[in-house]
Formats: sequence, C-alpha cells, structure tokens
Amino acid sequence: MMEVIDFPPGLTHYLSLGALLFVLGLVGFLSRRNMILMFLNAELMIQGVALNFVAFARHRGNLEGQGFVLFLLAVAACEAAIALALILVLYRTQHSLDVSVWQNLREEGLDPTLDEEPLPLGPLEEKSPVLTPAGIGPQQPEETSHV
Amino acid sequence: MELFAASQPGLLRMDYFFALALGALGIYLLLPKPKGKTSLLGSLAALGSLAWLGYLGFSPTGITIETGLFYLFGFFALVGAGLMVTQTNPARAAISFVLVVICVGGLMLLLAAPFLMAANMIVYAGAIVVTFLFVLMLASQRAPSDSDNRSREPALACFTGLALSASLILLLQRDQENANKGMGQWKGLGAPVAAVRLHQEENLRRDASGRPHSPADNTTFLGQTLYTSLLLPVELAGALLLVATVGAILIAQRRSGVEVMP
Repeated sequence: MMEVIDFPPGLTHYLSLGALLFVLGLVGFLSRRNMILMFLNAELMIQGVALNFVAFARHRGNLEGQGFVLFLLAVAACEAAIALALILVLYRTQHSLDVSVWQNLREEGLDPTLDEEPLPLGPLEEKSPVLTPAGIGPQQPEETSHV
Repeated sequence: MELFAASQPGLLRMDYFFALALGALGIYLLLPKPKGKTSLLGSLAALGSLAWLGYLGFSPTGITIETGLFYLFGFFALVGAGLMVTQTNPARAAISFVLVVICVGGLMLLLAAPFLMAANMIVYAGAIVVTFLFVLMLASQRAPSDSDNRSREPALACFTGLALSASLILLLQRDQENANKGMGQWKGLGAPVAAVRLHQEENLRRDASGRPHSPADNTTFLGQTLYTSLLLPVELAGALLLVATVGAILIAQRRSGVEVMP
C-alpha cells in the first residue's frame, strides 16, 4: 500500500466543490421562478456532476470518467435545446416567464399559491446618461492681431 | 437503517455544518424578495462561509501551486454560482454562469483534462449561454415581475440545500479523516490521491512500447477510449442529439396561422 500523503486539493476537495456547486444549483432550481433561470440552474448542477466525474477519472487514472463527461455535455445540449423550445412555446401562450402561471397543472385539490406582498413599483427604467451637447463650440475670446 | 449500520465510526465535525449553515443563511438573505433583499448582510454571510469552508479544508502540509489554483478557481466558481442563483436580472445571471463555466474549466485543467476544458467552455459558454441570452432577449421584461423579483419558498429551499450539502460534505470529510488515520473500509475514496496520482499519470503518459507521451496527448487517449470501450454510447449520444434537434425545431414551430415559405 502506498504511504499516506494528503495534498490539499485531493479527491475530497474536488468532490466537496462539486457537491457545493450541485447544491447551489439545487437551491436556485427550487427557489427561482423564472423558467430560463431554472434551467440555467439545472446546468449548474450538471457542472458540479461533471467536476465529480473528472476528479474520479483523475483519481482512478483512467479516462472513462472523462468520456462520460462528454456524454454529459451531449445530454446537456439536448436538454437545453428542448427546454428552450418548450419555454418559447409557454411564453407565447401566457406572455410570462413565471412558472407560477402554470399552477393549474398541479394535482387536483391543491389550492393555488397566491403572492401576497406587492411588487415594488420602482421605476426600473434606468436613466440614460445625458451627454453634454456637442456641435457648438464654446465661446472664445476674439483673436486680435497686431500685424 | 442498513445505511447507517454500514457507515464507519468517526467524528462528524460540526464546524463544517455551521459554516454551511452560514452560507445557507447568506443565500437566503440574498434571494430576490419583493421587499428588496438585504444585500450587504447576505453577501457578508456567504463570503464568510466560503472563507470558513476554505480554512477548514486547508491543511498546511504540502502546499503546491495546484493548491493555490484550486482555491482560486473554486472560490470564483462558487461566487459565480451564488451570484447566478441570487441575481434578479436574468441576463446577469447568465453571465455569472459563464464565470462558473470558466472556473470549472480551470479546475478540469488542474485535473489533467484539457480537452474537456475546451469542450465544456465551447458547449456551455459558446452555445448554451448564447441561446439562453437569445431567448431572454425575446422575452425581456422591463418592470419588476413575478418571475424575477419573487422567490418560491426561499427558506425551505435554503434548508433543503443545507441538508443536502451538510450530509454530503460531512460524510466526505469523515471519510477523508478516516483514510488519513489508515482506517475505514472505503479505501478508494479517502486513499491518498497524490501517491496514486503520480504513479498512474506515468502510466497514462506512456504508450504500449513504454515511450512517454506529451501531456497534451489527453485528447488522443480520450479518442481511443471513446471509440473502443465507449463506442455504443457514442452512437447513442449522436442519435439523441439528432432526435433532440428535430424535436426542438418541431416544438418551437409556430403552428397557428398560414405558413409562409420564403
């Protein structure tokens, strides 16, 4: 058996980092309501899993893990294409990216969740920067010559 | 109960749990709410939790450049992920995701996978995020909206995340410590990576006749693996991509109205 050397970025470190990325994606997927952001969060979870695969491939010293990440990429690309197509169709029917407008798809007997707090009415329209008017030069003192 | 019976004895360190709880609190404070979020406190909590976790996972023996790079990329990957989860502006969230992808690419480079780094960045940052941005452009909203300024049950979501991350990371850390002490049945996980790593990397870098390859030959080996032991999955992935393309075009087609061919 080999001796125990524990360099700081060992397998455990990479696995922990992958787990944290996965969990952040999970939290985002559960709590965000924009459909596009939900799918972006799913992609974040896939990134965490891919990191795990690559770390294991390195740890075991073979390339099956890396090959698997390629399939992960292919599946993620398919998922993104289908998901975006579906989101486009859903947006065309309801004109909103909010998933909560599709609450009627829930199982029967569940009350719809209503949002109680009002949204801020703040002017989200950001002001365009105002440039100083150009085209007219500032007034100069008249030039005099003594030739 | 089988699961618990099979687990090894060892100390579960609660400081990891508290660091994760601090992070969950930070994410909870940062998630968009109609009343406006407490940005300063939340980001302080999240960054503090990151620093604490980094300190807990740090061991001062055997510091290499790899250590520094791992912490750099890991820090920015987690910061980008946190920003992505908590942004109210979806376009900025997509850009934060690009930051995550780039940092994961750096980590893949550290793990001796240069081809995957390139493929990951091209597919994600180049294709998927750009498509996301296109759809965002089609469906952009100016005013505060239900979809961007509200979260669905942020407290419960953060609690779920805390439960999952704590169970994963506490178990990983306990296995690591058991392996450091030379006990534990799961040698494969906690076994010293560095020693195994050097040995096996040498094997990877030599061909059958014993000549050393250059490190950049990762792509060659990956291709060999793909077309020998993983041939069937490659064909299946190709078929899946074709089906998904056709399906996406069919789904996104406008069905109503007269179809005008240009």
